This record gives sequence, structure tokens and C-alpha cells, in this order.
Amino acid sequence: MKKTTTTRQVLPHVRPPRLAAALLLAVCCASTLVAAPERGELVACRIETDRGVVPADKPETAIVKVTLAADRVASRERPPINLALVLDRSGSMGGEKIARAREAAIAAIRRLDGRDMVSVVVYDHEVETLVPAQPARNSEWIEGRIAQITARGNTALFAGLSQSASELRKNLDTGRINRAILLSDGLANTGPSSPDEVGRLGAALMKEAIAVTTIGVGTDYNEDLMTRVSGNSDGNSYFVEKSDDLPAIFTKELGDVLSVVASRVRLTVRFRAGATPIECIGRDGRIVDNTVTVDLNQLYGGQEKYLLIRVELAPGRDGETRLLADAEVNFEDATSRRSAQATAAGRIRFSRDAREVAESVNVPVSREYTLNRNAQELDRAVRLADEGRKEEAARVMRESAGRLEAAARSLDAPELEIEARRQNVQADSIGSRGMGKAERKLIVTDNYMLYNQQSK
Amino acid sequence: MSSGRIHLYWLLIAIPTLLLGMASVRLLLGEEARLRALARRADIERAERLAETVRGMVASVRQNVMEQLAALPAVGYQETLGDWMSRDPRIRNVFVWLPGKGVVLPPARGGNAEERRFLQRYAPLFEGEVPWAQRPVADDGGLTRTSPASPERQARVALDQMRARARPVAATAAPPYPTATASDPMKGSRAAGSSNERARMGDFQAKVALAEAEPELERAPAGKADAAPVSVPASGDSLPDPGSRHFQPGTAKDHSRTGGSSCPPIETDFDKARDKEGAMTDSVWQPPVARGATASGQWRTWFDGNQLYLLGWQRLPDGAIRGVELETVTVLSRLSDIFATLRNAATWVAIRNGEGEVMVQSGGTAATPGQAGIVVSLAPELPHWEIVFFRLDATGGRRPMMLAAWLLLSVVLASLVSGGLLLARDAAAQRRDAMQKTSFVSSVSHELKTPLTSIRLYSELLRDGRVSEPRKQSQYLNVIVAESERLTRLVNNVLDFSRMEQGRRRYAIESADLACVLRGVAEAQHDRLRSAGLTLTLAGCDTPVVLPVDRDAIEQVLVNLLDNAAKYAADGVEVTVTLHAVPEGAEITVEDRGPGIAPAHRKRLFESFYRADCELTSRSSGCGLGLSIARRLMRGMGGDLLFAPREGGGCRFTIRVAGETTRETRA
Repeated sequence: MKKTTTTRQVLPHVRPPRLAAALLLAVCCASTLVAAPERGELVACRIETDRGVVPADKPETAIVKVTLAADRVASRERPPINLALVLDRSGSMGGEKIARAREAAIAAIRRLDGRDMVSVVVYDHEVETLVPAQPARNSEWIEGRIAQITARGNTALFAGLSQSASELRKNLDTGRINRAILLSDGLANTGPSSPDEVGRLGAALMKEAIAVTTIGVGTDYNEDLMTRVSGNSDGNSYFVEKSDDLPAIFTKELGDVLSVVASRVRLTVRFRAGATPIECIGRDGRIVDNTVTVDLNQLYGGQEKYLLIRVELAPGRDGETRLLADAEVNFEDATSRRSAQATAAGRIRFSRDAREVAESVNVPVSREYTLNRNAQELDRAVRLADEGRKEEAARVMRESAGRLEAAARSLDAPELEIEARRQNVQADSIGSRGMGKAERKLIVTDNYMLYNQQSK
Repeated sequence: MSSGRIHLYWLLIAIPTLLLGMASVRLLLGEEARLRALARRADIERAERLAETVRGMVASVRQNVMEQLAALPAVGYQETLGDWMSRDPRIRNVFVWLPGKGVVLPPARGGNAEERRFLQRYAPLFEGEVPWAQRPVADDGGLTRTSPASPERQARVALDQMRARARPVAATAAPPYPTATASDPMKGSRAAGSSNERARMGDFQAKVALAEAEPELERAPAGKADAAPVSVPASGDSLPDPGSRHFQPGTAKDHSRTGGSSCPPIETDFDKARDKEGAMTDSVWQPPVARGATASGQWRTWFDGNQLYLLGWQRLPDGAIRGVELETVTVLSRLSDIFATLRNAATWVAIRNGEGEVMVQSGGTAATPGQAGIVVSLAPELPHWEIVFFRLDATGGRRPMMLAAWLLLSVVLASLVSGGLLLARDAAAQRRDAMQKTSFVSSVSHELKTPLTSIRLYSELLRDGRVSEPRKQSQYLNVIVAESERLTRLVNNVLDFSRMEQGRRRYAIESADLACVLRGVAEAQHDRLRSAGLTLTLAGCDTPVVLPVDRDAIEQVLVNLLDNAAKYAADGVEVTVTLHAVPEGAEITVEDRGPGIAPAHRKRLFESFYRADCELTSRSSGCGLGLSIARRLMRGMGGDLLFAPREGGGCRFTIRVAGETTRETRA
């Protein structure tokens, strides 16, 4: 689902691989806890808790993880896609950036074939549909049009995205995977330009099954806006500091789009009596009564998406096993366009035996929970740094790093300790020099990935 | 022709031409003003049509959504509302409010982040601080909406309202609104912007609630209420009024009808927009419709954090209220599609919100401060939003026809002045030439007459035998010879000048020893110079200098120069002629110790008929051809004749003779 991939050229002195730690964690999860869907099952659903056993006779809080795992079926015919490229051609894109963007767009289009629809929209202070929606078979002409793009003017990002949506709508109900890839290197300065406003457009597009992948180039774009659009529309988000990486990013993104196996995914988790959902951690789920609902746009083959929910448990008797929740995932098979469903149930046991409780800790779920809480603290630090309170931001980061270290010891999770160390170094840097643009972008985009609990 | 007549003729041409030019300029300016007025009217109509399209689109969405809301079943609709919100991009939030319980959807605890913000946003409404219904008010233009009695009147009223709403403005750097009007206090306060606006909004909404509670207003028929003039409290601090913009049940439909179908069907660029407007309502997910459901509901606008929100709601028989919040960004996005089709480099059109921020735009670069534009309100569908239309002036603010007119007038004036000047100059030149020729003829006549008189006098004396003394006879004969020679020189000069003027002068070039030529001339002129009181000194003539020259021409040049010396430099006692062999040929200098030539006259010294108008020349005879002929002769042979003042006073003429010098050593 929402995936943030960042290039790692920046801040080598403060940038140990937090993302790598997260990926390592995710790989662990995938290999140890989350079983792949059974043969023939396109999407599998699974419910886990941070502890299999909780103390009896008192109210408790548990972290529930609902996992969706999409099968990687190599033999399946890929679904056709309906792609819109939205390219920023404002003045700041001049030179190497626009050249690389052209190359990347052409490379992406070459991966498509006659089944796919493609459109290209460019924007500066106004919007131009360079290539109206059409089958990708006419690639020479399309490439010729793309090659003509030059940089000029301001950044009407909202209008550009709107226009691309308009092109996608022409083929919205043709069973294709709808995706807009939005590239920008600057701040939106024409039309709605706040993260809230443009983010709402992402939310509206999600309802039309259009996912928006955002690619921020350089260090002058608004990462809050870009991640908000991607987050609300369930697309990917990339931070590319050097334009040389653009072709690779486009290729990777196309790889994801071409591997979509399910779309219009709705996960519904109904908690039984004695379990009350309090909050969704990271991903913005909707809680109504005892039901949590999350809409996802697309699932890629071989990908897992998670939902973490904090739940209050009514006191249970010693030895009681309680049915915690039922999960139901409804989706549309991307190839056959048929509706399908998968279900899962989660249980939890109560015990007075503290040792049994301690031994039942689900380390991967706990680690994810810890990392998500840490990400929330980092968000707080970003806000403080934005207000110029760099020492306070550094303090928040150090305190959170301390909690990470404690969790690393209790969970025996060395990757958390690595992350804590990296975070301490980063806090020192921020405390003395403030938060740099690239540093902020890395934090925001990494948090985005964590909040959306995704891995491959 | 006298200069007076020339000036008169010139004036006779100039005055009518000027009058004609001014009339043309006036006509052009008038035409330009007419065209500009036409263009402006067309622009106003374009802006109005676009505004109607936008209003119609929003009204259509509101109507469609309200109908769907009204079509939901009376019970068990909460889940459907949730589904509707999650699938319809036009719907941002849904809610259910129950009497005695307040809002039950979204849940006070839970929901998602957006729903929590929604509850916070509308807390004054949900908590009863602000009434659900909004007072009917006029739109931003301060106009009252009437209930048209007939379709014709309906159309007329709609157009009148549109035209009145379209008010020309001048572009300003900021803020977008020139001033806050009494009928529209929110604009001023919105433009000012404030962080505690929401708190003040709550206060104001309470005031609105009190006003709305008045029985007169409650009892007022809907049509009259619509027509009632705006009565916005003019409080000292001009509190914003989020609740003052009211949309009565069915009003969206009414406005859609009034603004859309009642307008004359003019073909516009915006027809596509209407198609899109329809497409927007057709393509979205629609909730299941309950049988027998009735379409009724109300809309109200809401401002929070300077953002406009549109809330539609419906009260059910059991007192429950259910409603939706429109996703204004979706509307903007669709409008952005429409605006993308309006690309025109000559115009700039945009939708601005109450803060003057551009929400959607199309066209060339934004207007510059001071540029005249057109503003059309988008109220009541989008209160305080407006269409702004600018025609971008490619000439940078200059009016092209005005420029053309002034250019034309300038050209006419320049032509007249330059023509007049040329005429005057030509006339002056002709007059000068005529005077010179007259002077020339007079001089030549005098020059011819003087020697002829002497010759005739002495000849008659000798013929009549009145002079018997041999010495006197000889003296008279010498006078006759001298005067004849003078006559010959004069005639030769005139003939040469005539030939040169006609290009018929031929040069008999042959090798000649310049030293020999000089000696010959010196000998011939010796007596004349002596009689003039001058002593001729020859220098450099010991060695032959042989060059290909026209001997007669050289002699004539030398004679002319020596004659000038005799006439004008006789006081100088001496005249020196020096021959120099130079690599390019030879130079002969003729120097005297006369009074010299004043600098003012040196430039025209070699011009034909030119004689320095001074005491010296008036005292001496001459026709102003000698030096001119001498220079022409020398240049005709490839040489030149130059003048320079002599050091110590006097003149120095240099004859440059071109050719390869041959110096022969005297045996």
C-alpha cells in the first residue's frame, strides 16, 4: 500500500538505515509470523495481538494487528492499467531535473503495452494535457510529446493533479488499475496549496479508485503535502534528492502498479463484546461503535499491509479464551474484476500466571507498535523544529530513543537499538544546527511508511 | 520663387493635412474606445456566463446530493450514510443528530481523523449555539432576489442581476477586495484574517440565531424572505458571519434554473463546462433510494479556518437531523478541469476565495496591479467567492489604436516639417545660386568690360594719332597687350569652368618638366606681379622634375594662384613658388605674405562663385572661379590643390601633382 522509498544520498553522518531497520523488521514479520496466502487464495487475512495471553481479572489494553497478505502469483495475467503522469514543469525543474523526468516518463511508458491507457499532464502556472488518455501502443508519438517538455512558470500542482484525474476518469470503469504519478520539485503556489486542501483531493480520488503516487525531487518540495496526497489516496510516496534516480523510481513504481492483484479493498474488523477499539495507530482507520473500517486502494502481489489497533479489554477470568474480533476483507480481483472476500478471527487468553503472560509476547507486533509510537514522537519533534524549538525537538527525540532502547532490551530486538542510536545522533545534530530540509523530508517520509505499515 | 510664397504654399498644404490628421486621430481614438467598450462588454458577458456555469455546477451538485439525502429511508440509514461517504467523492462527511442525544454519527469517540475534525468544526452547530437554518440574504452584489412572474421577466431579472453583480475592479497587489461593503461585512473581516475568528464566529452565529427567532421573519413567505434586503448587523468590530449566508430548501434548484436555463442561450466556451457539470452528478456512487421519500433539505455555508464548507441537512419527522458535508475540493477539482479548457493567452480568469487566494485559474500570467478587471460574485452558491476576469494587455498598458493614431499624426507632422524645411532650404539654395550667378554675370561683365574699355580707349588714341610720343605709344600698346592677356585669362577660366561643368574638359597629358613650366610662368607673370608690387621668388627649379601633366592646366593653375596673390596679397611684397619632388609626384607651393583667409571662409574657399564677403574681395575684381577651377583641374589630373595658412601670416597653396617623378641632372 502506501510506501515511501527514499534515496539515501543525504546526511550520511546522521543517517544510519532507519528504513533498513524497518524493512528488516518487516521481513522478519513476513518470514516468521505472517503466513503467505494459501494456494489459490488471492488475499489472506490474519489477526494477531502483541500478547497471546493477558493478565486476568483486570482491564487490559492490547495491540491488535490485522494483516492482509496478497499472493504473488506469477502465472496470473497482469491487469491493464490506466496511468496518468503528472509532471511539474515549473521553472525550478529546469536543467537536469526536467531532462531526467522526461527520461523517466518515457522509460515508464515503454513498460506498458496496448492494453494500457496512458495520459500525460504537465503543469506550471497553468495545466496542459500533453497526451490525452489513449492506449499506450502509440508510444513513439507519446515519447515525442514528452520530449518537448521544457521548464517554465509557477507550480499549479492542484490543477495538474485535477487534470490528470480528469484524464483517468475517461477510462475509470474499464477494469484497469488507475494510477496517477505526480512529480514535483517545488511548493504548490497556484491554486489550493496547503497539505489539507490538496490532501483532500487525494481522499476524493481514492473514492474513485484512483491512487496517487507522489515523487518529490530535491529538497524544496512540500513533503507534508505530497505524503498527505499519497496517504489519502493510498499511493506510494518517494523522496528523490538527486534527479538521476528518477528513471529507477519510475521503473519501480511501474513494477508495483503492474503487480496489483486486488483493488477497492475494504477491511472491516468487528470487535466482540469485551473488546473496545480505542485508536488506530498509524493508518487512519474509522472506528464506529465496535467496528473498525479501513479502505485501501490496491494490493500488490507479494505485499502485506497491516492495521494496528489499540483495544481496551474488559477483565477476563483466568483461563478464559475470548473471541476478540472478526476481520473481513472485501476486494475486487484486479484481473477478473470479480468481488472476493477473506476472513479471519482473533482470540486472546486470560491468565493469572505472569510468566505465561510474559512468554506470550508477540515480538514483531510489539516492535511495530514501538516503532509507530516512536514515529509519532518524531512527528512531534518535526513540529517543534518547525517552530524553531530545536533543543526541545532534540530532547523529544532523545527521550523516544531511550524508550526504543528499553524496548530493544525487553524484546531482544537489536534493530530497535540501532534505530535508537541513529536517532540519538540525529537528535544531537538537530539540537545544534536545527533540522535541515533533507533531514525533515527523510523523517516525514519514513514516518509515512511506518504509519502505513507496509513491506514487501 | 520668394520664400514668402513658399511658406504660404507650405501652410496651404500643412494646415489641411494637419486638420485631416487630427480628425483621423480623433476617429481612431473614438473607434478604439468603441472597440474597448465592446470587448469589455463581451468580457463581462464571458465572466457572467462562467460564473453562471460555476454557480449552476455547484447548485446542481447540491441539488443532486440533497435529493439523494432525502431519498434515504427514514430509519436504518446510518450505515448507508457511511457507505455513501466512503464511495462518493462529493461527500466529505456525513452526520446524524438526534434530539436529546446530539451527534451520534460520527461517533463522539472513534471515527477517523477527518471525522474528529468535522465534529470540532461544527461544534457550535451541533451543540446548539448556532441555529441550523440560515437567514435568507442577498448575494454579494447586494442584490435582492425576486420571484419572477414570467419566464421573460425571469430571464430579464437574471441577466440584470448578473450584470449588476459583475462589477469592474482594478487589479490590486493585495487585498483582492477594494473595500468591505456595508452589505458584506464578512469580506473585510475575512480579508483581515484572524486567528480567533472561530470564536468570534460563534458569537456572531448566536446573534444570527436571535435575529432568526423573530416571529416576523419566521412568518415571512419564502419568496418575500428571499427578496428581503440584507440586514447584517453592523457591529463595531464587523464580526464575520458564517451563518448569515443561507440557502433555503429548493433554492439550489431555483438558482440553477434562474442562472442556467433562464439565460438566453448564447453559445459560449463554457458549454463544455455544463456537460462536465452533468457528468459530475451522473458518474458518482449513489445511495439506494427509498420509495416515497421526499426531497427536502437545507444547505448552509460554514467558515472555519478561513475555509468554506457546505453542509446539507434534512430534518426527519422524528426530529432527527441527518446531513452531509460537501467535498469542496472535489468541486474545485472539477472546476479546474473546466478552467483548463479555457486556455487563452490573452485573458486570465480565476476563482478567488474570500481571502483573495486564487483557487482555480486559467490563462496567461496573472494580472498586474492597476489592470482593469471584472469580478462576478459566485454567491450564494459559493459565498464570498468570485470569478475574476482580466484581459491581459499585450501592449503593456498602451492602447494600440491610440499608438497608431499618434504615430500617424507624428508621421504627418514630421513629413510636413521636414518637407517645409527641405523646401525652405531648397529655396534658399536656389536663391543663393541665383544671387551667385547674378553676381557672376555681373562680375564677368565687369571683368570683360574693364579690359575692353582700356583696350578700346588706348586703341582709339593710337588710331586717331593723338599720341605722338613713341614712349607713350609703347606704353599704351603694353597696356593693350596686358589687358588682352587679362581678358584671355578670364575667358579661359570661364570656358574651362563651362567645360568642367559639362564634363567636357580634356587633358593633354604629356611629360613635362615642371621646373621649366614654373620658370615659364614666372617669366610671363613677372611684369604683372612687379606692377602689383610683388617680388616673385622661385625655388627648387634648378633640377628638372618631369611628370606626365597637362602643361596648359598646370600653367593655368599657377596663373590663377599668382593672379590671386597679385589681387589680394600685393601688400605682402613677396610671393614664393617652390617645387618639391615627393615620392608620389611633386608639390608646388605658392606662398604669399598677404592678409590670409579668415577661418570662416576656408571651408568654402574652393566652391564655385564663392567670394569671401569682405573688404578685400569687394575691393578687387573677380568672379569667384579661379580657385574652384584650379582645384578641379588638379583633381582632374589625379592631383589636388590644398590650402593652409602660412606660418607668420599669409596663404600657402600646395599643388600636388601625381605621377612618377623623374629627376634629371642638368648636364
